[in-house]
Amino acid sequence: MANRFSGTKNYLYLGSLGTEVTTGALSGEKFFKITAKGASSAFPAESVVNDVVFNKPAITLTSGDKAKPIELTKLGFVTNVPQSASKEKYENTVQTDVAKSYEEGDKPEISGTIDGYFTDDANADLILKRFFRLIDDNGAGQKTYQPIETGVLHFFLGRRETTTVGQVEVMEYMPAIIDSLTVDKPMNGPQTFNFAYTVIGNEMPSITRRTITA
Amino acid sequence: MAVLEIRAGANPADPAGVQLWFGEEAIENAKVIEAYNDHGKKRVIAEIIWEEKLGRKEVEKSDKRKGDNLRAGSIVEQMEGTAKK
Repeated sequence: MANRFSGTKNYLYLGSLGTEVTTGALSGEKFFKITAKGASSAFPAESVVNDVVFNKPAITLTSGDKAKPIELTKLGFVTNVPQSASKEKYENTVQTDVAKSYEEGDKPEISGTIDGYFTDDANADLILKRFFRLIDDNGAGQKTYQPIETGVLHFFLGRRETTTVGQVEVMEYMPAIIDSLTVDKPMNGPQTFNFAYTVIGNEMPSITRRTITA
Repeated sequence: MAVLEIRAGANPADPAGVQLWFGEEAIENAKVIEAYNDHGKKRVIAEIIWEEKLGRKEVEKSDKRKGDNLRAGSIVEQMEGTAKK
């Protein structure tokens, strides 16, 4: 019987891209983001630049191959990650059809929200600084003014996380921009945090189904 | 220095094929029951069958009470003493 995925023990991670590797073997059992493919690339044949690839067995780069390691950090403020996907449809009904006829678009649009509680989690700053100018003051004379930032955040959503050899792990890669933020401050109770994201197609979002091996 | 290693078998996705090695020597009296790999941090639950090397009779005489499978330690003796009072 097929597995039924639950929310328990599955988390939302934020990936940070490390220094680009251009030669030798990729180090560590983790995701890498392909940044260039050589003529006889060691990366999977069907993969393209911006795809993610899990480095097990270890990949030894060939001439022209480049990749950046992705370090995943569990986001400490998240409660729920609703997501929706849609596609355009084009009507092409003619008078002889018995019902309305449509053609399906080939490019899905994926977006959703991330709900949680407002905390001092360092990763929450990455979202806050998209909308607010953050100022850090250590009280001893050091004050840092941060500009409002833009850019893609590399989210990984665990759909089925496992470490058991033989089982299949399902991880969704959702590179996204943040297009709205709602922060609540009720009279009583925790301050809630909610932002909307839109997945960016040219960063190659995907779902990896990986068999855990020893 | 030789270290204990967890190595994959012919089919790395088969937990039954996972092996324990000490340096360049496979530990043959270890049976891996469960195997885990957390992004390179490997862990196994294995049954080590010591009888093959130590001898069953010797173990029972020196370290075990017959019948109850308990080790004859000081804690067991103290509990019996309290019950008599």
